[in-house]
Amino acid sequence: MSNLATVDLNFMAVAPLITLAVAALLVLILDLVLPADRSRPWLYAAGVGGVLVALLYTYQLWWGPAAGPAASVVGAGALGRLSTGIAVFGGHYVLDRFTLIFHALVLIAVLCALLMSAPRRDEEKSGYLALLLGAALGMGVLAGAGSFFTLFLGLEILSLNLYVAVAFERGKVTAQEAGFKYLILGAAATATMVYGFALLYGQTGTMALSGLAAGWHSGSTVLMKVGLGLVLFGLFFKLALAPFHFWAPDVYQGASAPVTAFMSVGTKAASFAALVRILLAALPEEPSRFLLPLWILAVLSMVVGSFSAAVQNNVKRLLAYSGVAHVGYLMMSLLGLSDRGVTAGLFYLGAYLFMNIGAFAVVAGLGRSGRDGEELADFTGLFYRRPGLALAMTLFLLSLAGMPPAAGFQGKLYLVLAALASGAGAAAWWLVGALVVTTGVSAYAYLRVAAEMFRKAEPAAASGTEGYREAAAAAHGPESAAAGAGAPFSWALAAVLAVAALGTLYLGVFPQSALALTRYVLPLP
Amino acid sequence: MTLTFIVFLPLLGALVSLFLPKENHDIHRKWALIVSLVALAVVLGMWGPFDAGNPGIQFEQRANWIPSIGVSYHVGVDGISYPMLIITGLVSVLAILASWNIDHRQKEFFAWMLVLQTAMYGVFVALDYILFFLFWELLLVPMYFIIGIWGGPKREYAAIKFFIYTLVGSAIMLVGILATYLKAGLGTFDIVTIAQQANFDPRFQFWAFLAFFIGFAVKVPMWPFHTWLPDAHVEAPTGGSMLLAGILLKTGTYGFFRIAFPTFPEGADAFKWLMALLSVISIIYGALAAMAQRDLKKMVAYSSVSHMGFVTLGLAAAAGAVAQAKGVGDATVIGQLLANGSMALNGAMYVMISHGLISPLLFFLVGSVLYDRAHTRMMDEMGGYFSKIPVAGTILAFAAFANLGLPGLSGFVGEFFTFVGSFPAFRTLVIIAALGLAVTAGYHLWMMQRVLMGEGKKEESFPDINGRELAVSVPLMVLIVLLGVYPALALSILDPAVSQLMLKLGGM
Repeated sequence: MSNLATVDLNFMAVAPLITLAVAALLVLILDLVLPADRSRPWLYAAGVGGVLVALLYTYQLWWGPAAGPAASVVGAGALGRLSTGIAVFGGHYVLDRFTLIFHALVLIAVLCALLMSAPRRDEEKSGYLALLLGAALGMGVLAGAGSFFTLFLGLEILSLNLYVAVAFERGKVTAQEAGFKYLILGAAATATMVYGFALLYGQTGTMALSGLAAGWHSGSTVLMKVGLGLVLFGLFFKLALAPFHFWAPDVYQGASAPVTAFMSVGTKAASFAALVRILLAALPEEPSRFLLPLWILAVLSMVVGSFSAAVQNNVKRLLAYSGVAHVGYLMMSLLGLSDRGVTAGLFYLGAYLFMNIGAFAVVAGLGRSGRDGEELADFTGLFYRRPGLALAMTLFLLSLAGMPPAAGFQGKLYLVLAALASGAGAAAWWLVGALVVTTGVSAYAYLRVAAEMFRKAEPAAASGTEGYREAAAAAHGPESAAAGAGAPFSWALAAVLAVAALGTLYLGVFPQSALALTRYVLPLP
Repeated sequence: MTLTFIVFLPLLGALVSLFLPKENHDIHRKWALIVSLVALAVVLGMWGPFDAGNPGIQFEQRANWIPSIGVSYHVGVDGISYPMLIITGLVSVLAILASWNIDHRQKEFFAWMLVLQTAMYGVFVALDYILFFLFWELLLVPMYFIIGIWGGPKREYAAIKFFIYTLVGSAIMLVGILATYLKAGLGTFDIVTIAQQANFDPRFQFWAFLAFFIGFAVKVPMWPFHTWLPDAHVEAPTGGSMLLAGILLKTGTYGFFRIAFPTFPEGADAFKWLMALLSVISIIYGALAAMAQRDLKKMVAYSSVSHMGFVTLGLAAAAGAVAQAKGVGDATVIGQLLANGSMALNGAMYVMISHGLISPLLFFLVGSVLYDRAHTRMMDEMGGYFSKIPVAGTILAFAAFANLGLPGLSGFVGEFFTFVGSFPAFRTLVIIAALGLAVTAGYHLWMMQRVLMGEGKKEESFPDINGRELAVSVPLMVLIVLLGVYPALALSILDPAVSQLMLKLGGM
C-alpha cells in the first residue's frame, strides 16, 4: 500500500457518499434549530434532497471518471475485469461503474424508504431519518470497498445505523427484541469477519483486495481458505443466506415497514457487491471449484426460504423468508464468476429492488395508528376495499414468484441462462433444479396472500373460523375488521408504489435498457 | 401488423374497460363482446389472404426486443396455428356471451376475459421462445382469477392447484428453452430459426424434449399430470370452463406441434413409446373416470382428458411412422409410412379443432343452460329433460353424440384419422385405445339416459333455451356439422403445414 504522500485524496470520487453524510448531519442540525412543530417537512426535504443530489452525483460520475480509461485500474488481475474505473484513497476505495450501479440501487432504496416514512406519525424524530441516510452511506462505502479497511468501515457504518433504526419504535416490544437480536448476532458476525481479515492479512501481507490472489501462491492455502471462509460468513450473515438467516424474520417483523424495505434491498445489494469483489479478487483460476459450500448454501437457502415462506401468516415474515430464497437465487449469478453471471445478478437486484420495496410499501400502506398491515388477515378482501392497492400487491407478488411480464421473470431468466452458460456443470444443474422446485413452493406462498386479497370478506370474517384470523382480530382490537379502510393515504407512499409498479413492469417488458446499462459495467462476452 | 393488432386489441380493450363506470354492469359485457367480435372479425378476415397451399409462416412480423440475448418480437401463423386462432376467436366471443349473467364484479370479470384472450392469441402466434413463454405464463394469471373469484365453492383450492401445476411445468420448460438456446449457439431465441438451423445431438434432444414434454403434458393434460383439470373445470365459471377446455388445453398439444416435434425430432423418437402409452392410458382412464362421475361437469372434464389423449397419440404415431420408415429402403414403402404419419398428425390437429368446438358447447350446456335451470350438476337429480326442455335437451344430445364420435359430426373425422394413421405404428396400443371408444360411447349414452330420458325427479318445469343461449350454441353446432361432413374445409389448411412437419421429422 502506498504511503500518505502519494495517496490520491479524490473527494469528487466519493461525492455521493459525502452528500449523504452532509444530508444526515443537516437533518440533525435542522431538528435542533427549527421549532419542533414546524420542522417535519424540512427534515424530510433535507433527507430527500440529499438523496437526490447524491443520485445526481452518481449520474455525473457514471459519465465522468468511472467511464475513463483503464489506466488506473486496480491491479491487472481480477478487479480489472469488472470495468474501467479509478482507485482512490490509496486503493482503499474503487470508483467504477460497478460501484455506481450499487450506489444507484441503494439511493433509490433509501429514497423509497424516506418517502414511505412520510405518513408515519411515530417517527417524527430527526434521528430516524439520519439513521437511514447513514445506513445508505455505509452501503455505498461497502459497494466501493477496495480493501479490508473500507469493507469493514462500510459494514460497520451500515450495521450500526440499522441496529438502531430497527429498534426505533420505542413502544414496540417486537422492535426492541428485533434490534437486540440483530445487534448481538451482527456483532458476532462482524467479529468472525475481522478474524478472517486478520488471517488473510497474515497470509498475504496486504489489506488490499487486489493482493489476495497472491496469497494462494505464497504458502499455506489452508489459512487462506479459513480466512476467506470467515470473511464470507460475515457477508452471508448480512445477506441472510441460510443457515445464517435466523435473524431475518424477527428483524423484518419487528422493524417498521420502511426500514425493512430499505434494509432488505440495500443490505443485500451492498453485501453482494462486496462478495463479488472479494471472490473475483481472491479466487485463482477455476473459481467455481472452490465454491462448492456456496452452492450448497444457495440450495439450502432456496429450500428453507420457500418452504418457510409457505407457512407464514405474517406478511413481513413471509417476505423475509422469500428474501432468503431470493438470495439463494442471487448466488446462482456467481457460478463461474463470469461477466454474464454478475450482470444477471445486478439485473436481479434491480428487479428485487422494485418488487420487494413495492410489497413493503403495500404493507406500510395498509397500516394504521403506527402498526403495519402485516398480518394475513389485514389483506382479507383488500381487493374489495382498495382495489388499486390489491392489484399493485398482486403485481409485486407475481413478480416475486417469477411470472412474466414482471421484472422477476426476466431476473430469473438471466440467472438461469447465466448458470447454464457458466460451464459449472453439475453444480449449475443442482441450482437450476432447486430453483424450479422452489419456484413452485414459493408461488404457493405468494398466492396465499393474493387469494386472501381476493377473498370476499364476509361480515363475520373478522371473527372467522380460522385460528390466525381470530388471533389477529383479538390482537388488534375491533379496528382490525376494517383495517386499512381509513388508513392515512399519502402522496409520498403513492409515489413509491407507482415507482415500484412501473419499475417492475418496465424491467419486465423492456429489460434491454437495463441490460444495456449493466453492459457498461461488465462488457458482455 | 394484423397479428399484433389481434393479440393486443383485447389487452387494450381491458385497459379501456378499467375506465368505464363500475356501476353500469351492462356496459362491461357489451364492451368485452364488441372487442372480442372485432378481434374475431380480423381473424376471419385473414381467411382470404391466407395462402392455404403455403406450408410456411405467413403474416410474419419481426422486431428486436432484447437484442442483448437475441430475443425478438416475432409473430406469424401457418396452417397449424391459423385454425387455432379461429377457434380462439370464436370460443372467446361465445364464452363472453355465455358469461352474460355473471352476477358480481362484472367489470373485473370481463377485463380478465379480455386479458386471457390476449394471452391465448399470443401463444398461437408467437414464434420466439421467450415471447411464447411470456404468453404461456400470462394464460395463468387471468385464469387464476377467473376461477379464484368467480368459481364454485372450492375455487381457491382449484385455482391455486391449477396455477402451481402449470407453473412448475413451465419452469421446467423454461430451463429447456434456455438450454436449447445455449446449445444451439445461434444467439437467437427464434423458434423457426432454431428448428431449421440448429444441430442437436440425440442425447441433448432427449433431455430437451423431456423438459418440453413435462411443460406441455401438464397443460394438455396427459395422465398422470391431469389431476388439476377436474378441480379447475368443476370450480371454474362457465365462460372459464369453455376457454379452459376449448383453448387452454390445446396450447399444450400446440406446443408439441410448434416446438417439441420440429425442433427435437430425435427426442420425439426417443419418447414415442412413452408418449403413446400415456396417451392410451389417458384415453382409457379418462373415459372410465368420466363414466364413474355423478357430477355432469366432472364427467365432461374427464372426457377432455380422454379426448386430448387422441391428440398426443397422433403425435406419437408420427414419430413412430418415421422410426418405421428409417428401417426400410424401398421408397414407396417409406412414402406410405410417412403418409400414415401425416394422417395421424392431421387427425391430431383435427381432434384439437373439433374438441375445441365440442367441449365448450358441452361445458356451456352443463354449466349454464342446465345448471341455471335445475341448480344442480348431479345426474341422479336430473331426468326427463327431453320432455321438460326439448330444445336444450336435443342440443345436449347433439353435443354428446358429437363428443362420442358419431360419424357425420366433427369428432368422428379426427378420431378416425388418428386411429387409421396410428395403427401401423402402434398396433396393440391402438386396439386397446379403440376399446376406450366403446367406454366413451357408453358413458355418453348412460348420461343421456339419466339426464334426458325418464320422468325426472322434480315436478317443477323450466323455460326452454333462450335466444342468447341459442346464439352461443348454434355457431358451434353449425361448425361441428360442417367439419363433420366436409373435412376438406380444415384439412386443406392443415395438410400442407402438417406434411412439412412430417418431412422435418423424417429428417428430409
